[in-house]
Amino acid sequence: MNTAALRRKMFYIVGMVALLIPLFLLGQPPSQPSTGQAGDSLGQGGTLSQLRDRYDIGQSSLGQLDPASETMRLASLGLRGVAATILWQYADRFKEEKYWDLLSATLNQLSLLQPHFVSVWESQAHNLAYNVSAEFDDYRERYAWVKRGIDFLVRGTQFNRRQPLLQWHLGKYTTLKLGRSDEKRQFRELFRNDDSYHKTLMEYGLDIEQPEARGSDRKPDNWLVGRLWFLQAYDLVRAGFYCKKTPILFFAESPWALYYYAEAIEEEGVLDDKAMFAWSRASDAWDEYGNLDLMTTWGHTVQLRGMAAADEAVKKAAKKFDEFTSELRQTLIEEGKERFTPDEWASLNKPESERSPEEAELARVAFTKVSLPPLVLAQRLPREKRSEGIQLANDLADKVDFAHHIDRSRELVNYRYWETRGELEQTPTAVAARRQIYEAEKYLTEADLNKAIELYDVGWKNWDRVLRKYPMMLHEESSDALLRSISRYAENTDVTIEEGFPLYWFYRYRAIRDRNKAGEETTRMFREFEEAAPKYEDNLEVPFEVARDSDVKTQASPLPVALDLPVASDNSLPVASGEKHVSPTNSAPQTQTAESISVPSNDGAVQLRPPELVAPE
Amino acid sequence: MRLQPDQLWSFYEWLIPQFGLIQGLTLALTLTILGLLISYIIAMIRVGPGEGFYAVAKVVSDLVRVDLPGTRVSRLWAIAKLAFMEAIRRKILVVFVIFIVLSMFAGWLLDLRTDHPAQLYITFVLSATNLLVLLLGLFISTFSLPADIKNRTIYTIVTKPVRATEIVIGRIIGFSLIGSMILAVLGLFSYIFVVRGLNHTHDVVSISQDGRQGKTGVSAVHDHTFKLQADGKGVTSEAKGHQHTVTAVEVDGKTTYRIGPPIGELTAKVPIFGSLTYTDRMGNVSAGLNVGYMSEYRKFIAGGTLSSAKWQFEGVRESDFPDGLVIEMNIEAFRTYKGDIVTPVRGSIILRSPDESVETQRRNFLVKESVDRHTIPLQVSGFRNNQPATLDIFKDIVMDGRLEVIVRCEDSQQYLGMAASDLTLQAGERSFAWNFAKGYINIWLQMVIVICFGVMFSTFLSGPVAMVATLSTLGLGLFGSQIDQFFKAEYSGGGPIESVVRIVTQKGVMLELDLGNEALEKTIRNIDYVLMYGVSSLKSALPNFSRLGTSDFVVYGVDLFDSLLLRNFAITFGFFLLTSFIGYFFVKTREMAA
Repeated sequence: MNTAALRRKMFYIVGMVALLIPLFLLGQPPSQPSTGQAGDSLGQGGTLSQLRDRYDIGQSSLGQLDPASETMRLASLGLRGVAATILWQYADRFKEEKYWDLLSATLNQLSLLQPHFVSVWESQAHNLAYNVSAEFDDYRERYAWVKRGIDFLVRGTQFNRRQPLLQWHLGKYTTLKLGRSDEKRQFRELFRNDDSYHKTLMEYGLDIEQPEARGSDRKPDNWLVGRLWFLQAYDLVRAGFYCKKTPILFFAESPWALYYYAEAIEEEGVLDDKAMFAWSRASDAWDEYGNLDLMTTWGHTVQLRGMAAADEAVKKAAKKFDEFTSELRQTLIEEGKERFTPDEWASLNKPESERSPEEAELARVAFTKVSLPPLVLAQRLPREKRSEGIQLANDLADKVDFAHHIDRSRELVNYRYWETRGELEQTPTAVAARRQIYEAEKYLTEADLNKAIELYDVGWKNWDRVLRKYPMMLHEESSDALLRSISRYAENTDVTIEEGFPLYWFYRYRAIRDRNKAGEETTRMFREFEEAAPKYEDNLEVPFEVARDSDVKTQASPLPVALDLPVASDNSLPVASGEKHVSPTNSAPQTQTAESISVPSNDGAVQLRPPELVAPE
Repeated sequence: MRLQPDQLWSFYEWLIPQFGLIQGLTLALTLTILGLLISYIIAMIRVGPGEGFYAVAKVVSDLVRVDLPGTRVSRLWAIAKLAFMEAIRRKILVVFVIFIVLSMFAGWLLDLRTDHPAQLYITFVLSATNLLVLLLGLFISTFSLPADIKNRTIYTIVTKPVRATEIVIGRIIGFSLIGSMILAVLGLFSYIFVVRGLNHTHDVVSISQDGRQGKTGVSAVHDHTFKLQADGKGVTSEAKGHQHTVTAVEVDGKTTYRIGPPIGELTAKVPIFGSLTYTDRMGNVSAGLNVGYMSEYRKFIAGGTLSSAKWQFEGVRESDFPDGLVIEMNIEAFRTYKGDIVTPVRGSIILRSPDESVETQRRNFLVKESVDRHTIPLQVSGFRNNQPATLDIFKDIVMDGRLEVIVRCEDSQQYLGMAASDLTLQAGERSFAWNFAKGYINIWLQMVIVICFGVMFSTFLSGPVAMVATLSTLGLGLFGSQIDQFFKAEYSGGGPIESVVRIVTQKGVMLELDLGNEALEKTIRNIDYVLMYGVSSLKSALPNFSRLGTSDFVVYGVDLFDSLLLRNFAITFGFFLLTSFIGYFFVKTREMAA
């Protein structure tokens, strides 16, 4: 044999063996130990295997092992990245050119190639549910594509069992996409009656047969079904799996879903005890959420309902610090005053509201001369008190920080608003007010003006009671709807909205506020409303109802009813001067009497859900 | 389905007015001159200018004087048979096994929840067959001749009275024969796979009290509703692109309902396509509006204005429309405000004579955004010279087979989008099986081209190199359009050198190259330009496989135009001649060298 050729071959063989050794060390799979006895653990395998074990990222621990996926990954012969890139390009082109079925098929292939790449599932599911669905004019087609997005994400969860983010997205799609789109009424109706999809969801492991998922008509409701996805995500997070979402927002989704469910059924005309129950359930869930220990981005663990306690703690710490440093502070204030300039004195002696901008600035500068941050103050204490003073100052600063973080976290989810909303919406008066206006508008559409006015008049009074007790609702979305209702009422009855109209104060306030959003006047007015609110001891348990003959004869209030409930004529609130409002029917008395009050009757609550949708042919 | 304007040309239109023949001849002439020139240069270097010229001239003269006239069918057939047997010996029938395995696991990739499962099934079988058969053609054609040369078995042939033309053409025929046989079997198997895979029926789960309406159970991820006529017969609603017949049958005094197999799913419609022009808000001819989509395929017309889309049809014959003029359209809606969500955007259709003197009344429709079929009765009311009149479509409106169809959007501030192929006249239906077969004939043509190139490359390259060369031809033919994008500056990331630089420097394609040296950047871009220009020139001399593909016709149930098939035959024949000539030249050179 040719020696050179032999030498070359030997060199190649040695080279290959040399390369195989590190490959073997790196990639050796875990194996049964040589004893092979039961109970023996698996051999550790190579470096890669050990790393997989350490970080728990083996294929089987990430999620389902799918033969199609594995085949595609193997068939790409190490060119998975290239194949995935080409498929992404195809997907983009199909989307641009609107080859929707091909896009969907390509996304399936793409996800099989990269089953554990969560972003693929996230972004392409969004693509299907939001971008592709919006391309269709027919809302039923749009609904079908939202479902496709959801289906796609569900497949993602099967491949990635440890990603709460996917369940969270599923909750978002099912709740927000179906429940807050422009076509939410149609989407919700389609979802309620989509029996075959309900079966599919059951196959996905989502128990939508349970009462928790059923709406007021005992059919699965998108808000409640979506909430079940959120609950699954919460379970995963509680089991220790990481989710790239701030806990404050992440855990708010479930109670929000309940709130939006209550809001949705009311919009659809379910304005009875079912609505009250829905609000009550949402309110309870919000309270539970408020009691959760939630990690903030500042590193504190807070409870959103702990605001009062945190404020109290700040007060106590401040008082303790003040007492400890009172002597020094007094001295420093006196010293500071000596440094005031005559102009500063002059501006300080003026009432705050009369100061010009220059004077306000002078007053601010003067104020800084007599006020020192607690830590600086503590550092100026005599040596023997300084250490303790610094400790108290730090304690105070911590408590202020903590309270501030709770406050900011509450702002993040609008905690107080939802708390108040839940509290008021579950009252019979709020539900009756909504029902009366809803029915009045229905009668208005049917051109039955008398009935409409009758209901409107009672409805305004109930709204008056609700809004006076909860002024926070004055800026809320549903108060916008109320404003529109008032305008419609005025247009159809030729009534001028002026003093004497139960909601004149609200109407005027909103008119001023809408003209001048953050003006001084609206701020002052709102402050007055808030200050007056506690004076309303009206418990809102007994709403005004339209007096019917049968009501007067047969229904007597089982509750002790105050005969002189505060209504719109209360002089303690700002109302514009002018002519008195005259109700077109003159049926609403200014002072409520027992005859005109009745408890909310379940029999009287009509199921007002719109009829099932049919094909728009 | 989307069509390119050139796909609508007749064979003659493509061949003569659109310069198909001239382009082919120019390509052949250019390559011949170039080939002869290069051969002469090589021969000149080896044996000097005089001898070199003589060698090249001898090859050309042998072709004309000896080899072409001397080519015999019997010898061609003998060579073809040899090639056929050789391919069988090389176990190429393993392709069947691969295809069957692919089909068995097709369910993993085919999503039955799609709106058109038939399209996915057909796409799958056509793509899988296409890929397998092209690869098959590649492998069998590129290794045969080099192996003969390497084993010196070629000398036992060339020493016999066999012409070089016969060696090349015989091989092409032999390999094409085995490929055809395999393709035929795969085609048959695919047809059965598609038909059986889509065949299903339903049971009836609910029926109204009067027994006239009902609902089927879920099968193949969908269900239907149905209505029955007084005679107990009816059809279901459409779902997943098909319907079923429903028949009420009395059995032992009890009514049962029989649901037939799916209908309307596997079709080969014969559409008449028209040319499309748009008018703007004032009624003047325009290019149509772009509402902001990236795709320029569809153009839009504004609602509530004089803006319209006008299709001009030719060849509209009364005999094709015995029950009325069938218009099939797929119009897209674009809303500038949501408005009434439940009611689709409204449009209207007007039929007009080419001289614009006669037109029908507006016929309103609601946009469906999927295939929407309208049958317009043959007698309609309309206007003749602006006077109301009752019209007969074929007597009063269609003139010499020509007809205009005008579509308007009726909703103000909403838009309708359309392309030429979005509105067609449906002149009947042909057999799906034959259309499917035509799709496979088209694959066969592509395979023959690959074999031609494979054999050609194998006459002067070693087996693996010939394979890579053929594969590159295939790649350029399939993805060559990206090179065009490079020249149109639509392709981000630059050419080969720039791409490498970007990979090394970890720069995304959307970022500026920015190497801190403008001259260097310019040099890289210029080199890239030259390289890409070279590849682009090469591409234009190679078959464009992406344009040869006609699977969309089968997938979307449109009868593949005979003119298109004929054109593809002509292109294949052209490449056969070209590659045979080049192959002959190289075999002859080797023969002489031997």
